[in-house]
Amino acid sequence: MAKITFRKQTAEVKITYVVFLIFYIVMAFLHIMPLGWSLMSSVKTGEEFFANSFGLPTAIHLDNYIRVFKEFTYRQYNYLDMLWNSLWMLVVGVVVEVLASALLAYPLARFRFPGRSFIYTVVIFANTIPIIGAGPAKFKLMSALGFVNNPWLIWISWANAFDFAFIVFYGNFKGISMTYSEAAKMDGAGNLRVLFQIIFPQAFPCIAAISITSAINVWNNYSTVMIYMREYPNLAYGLYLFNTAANYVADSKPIYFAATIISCIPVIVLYACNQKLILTNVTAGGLKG
Amino acid sequence: MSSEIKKKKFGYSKFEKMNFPFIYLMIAFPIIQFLVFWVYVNASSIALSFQTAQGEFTFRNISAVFKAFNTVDSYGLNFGESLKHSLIIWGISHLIVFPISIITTYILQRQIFGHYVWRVCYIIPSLMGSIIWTTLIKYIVAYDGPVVTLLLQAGADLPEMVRHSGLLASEKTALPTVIAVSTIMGLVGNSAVLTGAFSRVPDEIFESAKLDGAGFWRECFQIAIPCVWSTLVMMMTFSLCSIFTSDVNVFLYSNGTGEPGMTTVGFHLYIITYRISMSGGARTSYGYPAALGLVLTCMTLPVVLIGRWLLDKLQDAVEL
Repeated sequence: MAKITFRKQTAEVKITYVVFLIFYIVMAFLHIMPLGWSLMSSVKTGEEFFANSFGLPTAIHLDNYIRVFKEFTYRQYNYLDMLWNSLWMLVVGVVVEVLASALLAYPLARFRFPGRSFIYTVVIFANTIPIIGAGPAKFKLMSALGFVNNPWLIWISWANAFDFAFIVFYGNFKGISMTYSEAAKMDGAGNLRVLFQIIFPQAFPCIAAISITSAINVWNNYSTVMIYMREYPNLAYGLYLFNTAANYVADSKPIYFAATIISCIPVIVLYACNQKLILTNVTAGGLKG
Repeated sequence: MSSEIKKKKFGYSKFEKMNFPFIYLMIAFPIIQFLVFWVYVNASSIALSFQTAQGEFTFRNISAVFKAFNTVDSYGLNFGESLKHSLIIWGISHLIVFPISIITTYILQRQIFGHYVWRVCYIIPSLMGSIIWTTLIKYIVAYDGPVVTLLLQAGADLPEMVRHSGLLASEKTALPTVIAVSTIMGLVGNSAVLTGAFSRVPDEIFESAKLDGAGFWRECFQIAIPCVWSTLVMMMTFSLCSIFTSDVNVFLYSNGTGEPGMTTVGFHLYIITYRISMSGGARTSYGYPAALGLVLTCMTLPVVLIGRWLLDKLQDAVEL
């Protein structure tokens, strides 16, 4: 999109520019202030934090970060256990969600077959018609199937293809030129080869963008872990549990803040490095004209 | 030749038919998963609405939901109050915050000075996750935090409870505080979908508009926004669906209690599922929560359908 510049503009545009720039700076401060405060609190002692939670630390206690790995515990789980749970949930969660959506979107976007229109209509219906309050019924089913607190089976419930990722993939796959896949098929390539060697590489930016967005959501997900995987607490759920307990233990608060910093660094780095990829590839809905 | 190359208007060609096994094999798992975890779950939820704990047919669950509009239900929550709060939150976030965020996204996309840095700053709360974010906000609005201190210095007449325990401790200030936080954070549009849509508007359109003498706001309202209108319609349709499910992290702000006076429908539904899960699901009647979901779906459906109809009409008007 065309860049807005300050120079050679009318007074009206210059005023708008300055007003919005000030607004963006203030909002940026409000958005990063809690992170800065968390960082500051993570290097205090417990006594310092409780004496003045917004005061500057008298000394930098980096040892709080080491203490996280020893003292950040919930029942038999320590920080590394929770980190491990977060990691496997992230990998499995992202792979199954992205793969399921992509596998459904590919044939629907590029082949004609009986039932195609019906399935597409159902996906749109499922995404735009709200059916609320099925949580208890889902828990009943998950319990009956033995999925609750079962890391070997829980992934099946995560493999939801009828979601927003489908809509993004569908649009992306439909937009990929037929030329390459037609040429590959003429050279004798099978459908799987076309999918993995022609389509997926061309759709890589879109797949990567959806994967990163999904990864951030999975990493920070506490609500479903709290219900379905309580025996396998991830970092997000672990932070909730530890904070609840730390409210009563003065010395634990800086450890809590150190743990929050360690746990949010990977996602901040992941996003910062891929911002452009995400913002230009997660698109849905057409462009007029 | 494949179905991608040779297409017949009616029926299917031999080459298309050859692909059917591959296609059905690919879509088999996603469809089975959907049938089990969406179709069966929702059908089961509807059936549970009309069942007693012993599995007998009853309307008692539905009537219990209507009673809960005015009184506290069996889970100790006031459904009518939750409904009112959800509508207020939805109204503010979608009728006030969303239109402003479209403008702020547009200006960010026009690469205002420092746009890359601002974007990273604005996404930080989402990256940190709601657990960390709500904990930090709780300290900021605590009785000794900067917000209460500033309000007191400004001479604000704060309730006694706020002076001793912070803004989230009083019924008068808790929900407004939560809404204010989500409103402030939502003002800076950083939606990946909307940013992606704006980024696809060709520069040439703006250049020719500029040559025709279009000003900054005219470019925004008469070029950029109409160009991404279909994306906006899609986002608004999704937002209509979330009318009763978004809960602005009430569970975390209230430590799972919804007190004081912060309950929303999203929280209401989540806490019931959570309590059922905590009890292991055994000896629990699923009837009332299922009936609650059914009543909410029946309430939301006409809103969504009318909303979509209106949005379609608006889209037609934009395209004319």
